[in-house]
Amino acid sequence: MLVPVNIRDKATGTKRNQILEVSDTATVTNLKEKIAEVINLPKDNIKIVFGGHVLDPNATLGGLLLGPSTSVLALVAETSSSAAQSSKTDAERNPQNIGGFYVYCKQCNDVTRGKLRICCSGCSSPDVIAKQEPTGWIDVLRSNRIPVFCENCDAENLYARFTFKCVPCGEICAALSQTRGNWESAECVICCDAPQFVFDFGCNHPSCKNCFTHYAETQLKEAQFRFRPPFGYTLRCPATECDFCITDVHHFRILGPTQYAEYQRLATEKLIALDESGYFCPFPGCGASFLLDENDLPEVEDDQIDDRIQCIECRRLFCRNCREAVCKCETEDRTNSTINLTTKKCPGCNVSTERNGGCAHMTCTHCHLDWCWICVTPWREDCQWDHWFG
Amino acid sequence: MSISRRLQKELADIQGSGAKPYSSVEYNESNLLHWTVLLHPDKEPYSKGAFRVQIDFPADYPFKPPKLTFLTKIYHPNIDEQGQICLGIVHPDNWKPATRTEQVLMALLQLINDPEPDHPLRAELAEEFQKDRKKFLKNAEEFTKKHSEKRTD
Repeated sequence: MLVPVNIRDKATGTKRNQILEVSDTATVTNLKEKIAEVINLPKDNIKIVFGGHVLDPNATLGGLLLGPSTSVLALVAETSSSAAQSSKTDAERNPQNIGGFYVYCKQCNDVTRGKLRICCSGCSSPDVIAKQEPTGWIDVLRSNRIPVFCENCDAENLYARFTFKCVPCGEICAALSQTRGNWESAECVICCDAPQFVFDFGCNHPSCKNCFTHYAETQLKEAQFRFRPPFGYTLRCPATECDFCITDVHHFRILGPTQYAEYQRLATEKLIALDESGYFCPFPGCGASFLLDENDLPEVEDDQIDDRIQCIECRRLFCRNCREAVCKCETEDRTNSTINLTTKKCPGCNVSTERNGGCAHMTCTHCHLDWCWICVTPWREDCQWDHWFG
Repeated sequence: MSISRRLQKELADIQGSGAKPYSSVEYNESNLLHWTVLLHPDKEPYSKGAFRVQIDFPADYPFKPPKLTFLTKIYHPNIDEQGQICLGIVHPDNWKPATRTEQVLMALLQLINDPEPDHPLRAELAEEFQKDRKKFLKNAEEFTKKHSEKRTD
């Protein structure tokens, strides 16, 4: 394999780039020996830096999953660093099979192994050493949490910037923080297979890719996704009575481009339907939904009252009270009067609800609020004792 | 994923060793989508008999819930004359694909043993259950003796 190396001599301040050939099973020590030959200095003076830290001499280079454009940094120090640290490597350890990080790659159109890359927040150079290690996804997904020292720009107050790349194609991708290698060879809670990687909602009820995808498709079609701020419109764990949910909606990319677009449309509609200032354009063929900005109302003469609002997409005007294209506020409309007679509005989201049987305890199919048909308020214990059914 | 693999595993678990409050799981080898099970409730008045229940798995199982129907007539506020049951765990709004048929049967037995008069399918039985428990138990016991199957436990 070919390894691009960026050799920096601290004593002389010189830099050079070199592509070195090493065997596919070469270790960091083997690479140091190659570099030592090139610069004619003892190998113990060299430190190899990659991915935010100084590499262990026994680590294998293959395990770094280097792409052709990714180089490692070789730091040449004046004095010999503490020789041969007593770091042990596990000969059995094969990073190829562990696979901790997974991404959704748009290029490959699939969930793939991901590799973590780290660079300087100031100059974007990969030649950084992290002063502190990330302890969880939050340190990696949010910016400015891990301070670094940058060998390239050497500026103050620098932080690590993390990116994920697809292992097969090298494309920069969204990391899937709720997908992980199946280290314990656990069975999928749905089909009982033991897959190579699993979707884990954080509750240790793993599911395989096929089952997760089919589950997400079915739940989306059946309008069983739930609106869970701050995560948005999302999916609950497939295990019985488990209420954990997908907190990182990038996972729904697995639905494929068409269904993912449908997911985004539904998620937006849900958000708008639950918001008091949310409107749906009533004109045929438009289908826009939007949140009304009071500052954005059409301009009217001072003495004129205009209750119309403008669709943000087709720019047509409609009544903000009855929300109809042709205002029906003043007219007797049989459809509307029938709806008003036979339904009550859910106290959570205002959706018109018909009760066609059962008890007075309603569960909204739209916002999932439990409410009382008699009181038209959220369901209380009093409702149960006083007017449960009948 | 293969639906029959999961159903085979569930069958094996259900027929596994240990005392169980149900018996004689019957199914057709060539079509695992329809089973019948004999339930043995352990509380009065239903402990006087056994009740046969049909379980129909949809083609999209386990992504869609199984449907349960009583084949044996039962005097119960939550089970109607057609044998239909209102059971939360298999309601399409609550269904989770990791839920096993064994869990569904346990939930069903719990519902039989402890009726939930707040979500009745037969309002008149729910009212009797709440207002005149003695009369309800007497009626249910007579009904059980007349219609239920013989217990095999």
